Amino acid sequence: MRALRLYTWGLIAALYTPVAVIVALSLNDSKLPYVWGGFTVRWYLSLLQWEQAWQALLNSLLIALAVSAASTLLGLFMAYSLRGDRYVVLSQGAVVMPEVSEALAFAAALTLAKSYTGVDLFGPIGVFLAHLAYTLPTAHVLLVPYMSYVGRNVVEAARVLGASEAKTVSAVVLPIMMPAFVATFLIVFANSFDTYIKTAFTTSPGFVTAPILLWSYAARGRGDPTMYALATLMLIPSIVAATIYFRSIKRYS
Amino acid sequence: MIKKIAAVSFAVVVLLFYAPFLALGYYITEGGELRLPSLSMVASTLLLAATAAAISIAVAYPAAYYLAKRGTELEFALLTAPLWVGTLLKAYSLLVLYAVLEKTVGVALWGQPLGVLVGMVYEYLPYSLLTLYASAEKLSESPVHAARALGASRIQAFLRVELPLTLPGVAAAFILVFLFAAGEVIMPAVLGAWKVYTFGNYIWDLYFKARDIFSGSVLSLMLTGMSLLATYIVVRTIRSLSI
Repeated sequence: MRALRLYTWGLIAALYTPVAVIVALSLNDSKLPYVWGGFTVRWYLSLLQWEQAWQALLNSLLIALAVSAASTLLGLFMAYSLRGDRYVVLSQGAVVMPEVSEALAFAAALTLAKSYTGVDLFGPIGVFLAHLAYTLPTAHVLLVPYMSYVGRNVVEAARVLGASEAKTVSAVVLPIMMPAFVATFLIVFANSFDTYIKTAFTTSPGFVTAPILLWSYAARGRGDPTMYALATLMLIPSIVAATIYFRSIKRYS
Repeated sequence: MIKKIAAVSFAVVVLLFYAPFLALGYYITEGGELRLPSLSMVASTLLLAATAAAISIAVAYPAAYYLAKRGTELEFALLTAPLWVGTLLKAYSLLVLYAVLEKTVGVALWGQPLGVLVGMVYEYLPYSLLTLYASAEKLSESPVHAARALGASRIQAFLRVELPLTLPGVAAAFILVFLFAAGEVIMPAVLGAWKVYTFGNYIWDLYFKARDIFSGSVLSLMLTGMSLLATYIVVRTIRSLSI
C-alpha cells in the first residue's frame, strides 16, 4: 500500500505540473518560457491594458452564469415534471443520447437549425443557446436521481394545502434538493466557462470569449506571457467551483 | 405552467439532437456529394483513441485501487479536480510544457502523435479514474481473505480475485474514454500542430474551411455510430471474458 500511495502522489504531481508551469511562467520576467528572469507582475499589467482580453473574460463569465442559472432551473422543472415512472425511462433515454453523442454532431444540429429557421443565432444569444442546449441534458441527468429524495407525500401535502405548482417547486422541492442544485450549478458553470467547440460554432467575430481568444494563440502554437496571465486567470473559476463542490459534498454526505 | 416549460425545453433538446438526421434526408432527396475521409485516417483515429483509453486505464488503475482502499478525501479531491479545468486550457499548458521540454531536455513532442497521445491521456485520466474508483469501491474484503486463507499470495489474490471483479469498471472506463477520444478535436489541433490529423479535425475542416455543413453532419453521425458500434463490441468481449 505504501508503494501505491507514493504512486498516487506521483500521479497528482504529474497532473498539476503543466498547470503549475503556466502559473509560474505568468510571473516570469522573461519572454522566453525556458529562461527564468525573476519575479514580475508586468504580464498581468499588460493584460489589464488589453481591453479585448478583459471583455472576453467578462463575456465568458456572464454567459456561464446565465447558462448555469437557466439550465439548473429548467433541469429542475424537467426532473420534477417528468418524474412519473412512465416518463423517466423515455426522458432519460432521449436526454442521455445527446450527452453520449459527439459534441461535433451536436454542433452540426445547431448549424442546421440556424440555416433552416433563418433566425440569426450568432453572437451572445447563439452562444447562450448553444451552451444551454448542451448543459440542459447534463443538469437534467444529474438532478433526476435526487428527485427521489423528495417524497411524493410532501409534494401532495403542499398541493392539498393550496400551494400552486410554482410555489411547491420553489418552497418545497428546491430546498430539499439544494445540495444537488448547487453541485449541478457549479458543474454546469465550469463546463460552460471554458468550452470551446460549442462556442466556436455559434459566435460572431464581434463576440469573443476567453477560450476563443486562447484558441487563436494555442492553435498556432504561440506562447505569449500575456496569454499565460490570461490562462492563469481562467483557472480561477475552475478552482473556486471545485472547492465549493468538494466542501458541499463533504457537508451533505 | 412548470409542466409546460419543462415539456417545451425537453422537446427543444431532443429536436436539436435529431436535427443532423435532416442532413441525411438532404442527401437522399437531392443527392449532393458526400466527402468521405480516407480509410487510413479513420483507422489511425480509432487506433489513437483506443491507445489513449488503454494507457489512461493502466495509469489510473493503481491510483483508483489505492483511493478505494485507503485513500483520503484530500487525495480524492486532488485527483478529480482536473475535471474542472477546460480542455483548451489543458492543451495550452501542455503546449508550453512541450516547448520548455524541447529546449531543456531536447525531446520534441509538439506535432508528434506521441504528444497528442500524452495530451489525451492527461485529459481523460480523471474520467477513467472515477469510473475505476466506482468499481473498485464495491469490492468487498471477504473474497480476498478467503483467497489468502486458501494459500494465495497477495499478488495472486489480486490477479485472480479482485482484477476480474473490476473488469466491468475497466470496460466502462475504456468505452467512456474511447468515445470521447474518437471525436477529439482540440488536442490533435493544438498539440499535433495540424500534422496529426484525426476524424474530428476532418469534420472541423468541413465546417470551417470547406463550409460544407451537410457532409459535416453526416460524418459526425457516422462518427457517433462508429463509437456506439465499438462500445457494443467491447461490452460483448468483456462480458464473455468475465463469465
